[in-house]
Amino acid sequence: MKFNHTFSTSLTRYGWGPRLALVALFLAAICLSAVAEAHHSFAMFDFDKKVSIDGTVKDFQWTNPHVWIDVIVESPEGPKQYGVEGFAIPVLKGAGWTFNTLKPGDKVTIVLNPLRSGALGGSLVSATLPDGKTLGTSRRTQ
Amino acid sequence: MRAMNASGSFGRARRSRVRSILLTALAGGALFGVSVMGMAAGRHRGPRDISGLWMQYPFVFQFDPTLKFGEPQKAALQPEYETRYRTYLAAAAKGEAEGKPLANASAQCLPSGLPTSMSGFAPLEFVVTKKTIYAFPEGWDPPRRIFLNRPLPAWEDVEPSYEGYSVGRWEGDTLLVDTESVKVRTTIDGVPHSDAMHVQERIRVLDDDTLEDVFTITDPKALKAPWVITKHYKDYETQAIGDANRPGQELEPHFAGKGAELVSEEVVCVENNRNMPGANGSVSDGVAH
Repeated sequence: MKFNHTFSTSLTRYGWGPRLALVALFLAAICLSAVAEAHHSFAMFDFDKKVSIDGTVKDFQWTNPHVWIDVIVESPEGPKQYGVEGFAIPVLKGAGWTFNTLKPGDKVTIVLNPLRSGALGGSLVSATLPDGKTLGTSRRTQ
Repeated sequence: MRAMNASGSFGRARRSRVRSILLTALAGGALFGVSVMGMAAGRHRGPRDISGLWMQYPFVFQFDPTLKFGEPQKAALQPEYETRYRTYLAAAAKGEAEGKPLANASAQCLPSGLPTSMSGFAPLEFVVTKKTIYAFPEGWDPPRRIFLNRPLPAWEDVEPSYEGYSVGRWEGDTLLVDTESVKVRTTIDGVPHSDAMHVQERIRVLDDDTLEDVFTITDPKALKAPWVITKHYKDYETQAIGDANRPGQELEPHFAGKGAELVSEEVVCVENNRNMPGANGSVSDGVAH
């Protein structure tokens, strides 16, 4: 497994629609120091950076209000576990995800907005599945 | 005899039956066509028909749709409550700036409580029965019950709950709902309230696709003046279908996308909440450390 970090200094612009304002509003939450009345604020993520990880799915948790993907990434220091937090099931459904999109053992490449704390995890941006298909987090990001 | 009848009166009767079947088929086909067109154009509502799935419109995260996201609320608060609200806002802002957002009630999967429960980021379903109107907000607020044509008991006598105790009655085509006894641990987007909060709602159907709810919040302990907020909701099915008959009003389909089954999603927030309060009361990042 390759340990591959790529950082992007500019926020990728997606064509998010008003109805899919979740993501944009989470970003706004950071800018406006606001408290989202969605499940939780996303201020712990750094939306100015993107990290790509190649790894093996340890667990795929298809749950509301957040889907979680635990990924094991091999590194020179040994295996490291990343916690990748997705949006709610309805949001991911809109992007083409289903409850059985991933299973333990699947090899994936995941792009995430990393935790600002430096802990191993982040907010799901997209995932490239074993069949080569890439799924984003809204219909507009596919 | 029979042969004569077959080519005579029996023949006329058969032709009449055929005509009748054809006419029925045509009428049925026309009715089917109209109903399909009706489905495509949205549903026709009676003036008191508030049933079904609704999505707040415009889609906003805060209860007051006139505010920009993150803008402080416009409630005229009594000094003690103003101080509490400002303290909360400062703590929230600090958490956001430091990347350690507050683990508020929502992050802990606790209900928003009325009236904020009527302002979800997912559909709200009204089910109307003869004696009770139920509201099911998708998310982690419990079902809400509006008891029809009953007096509101004295708030001191009612056990507080997240959605409070609601009674409703029709005044013309407006459903008047009065609610009290909402738990004081809830806030309205951070604005605290007291045990004496009274929420009056005036709910009415504006057109086939639109519902209006005018909230008037009074609270002699917490508010200096009534706090009035008007919210609108759009028929969730119309939103998902889009309405080509109303150019410019076509709404973005909901998350599930066009053609998806129009149901409210099951949300069991505590099932896998990895964002419970972490260090210093901030939202846990949910990852292995």
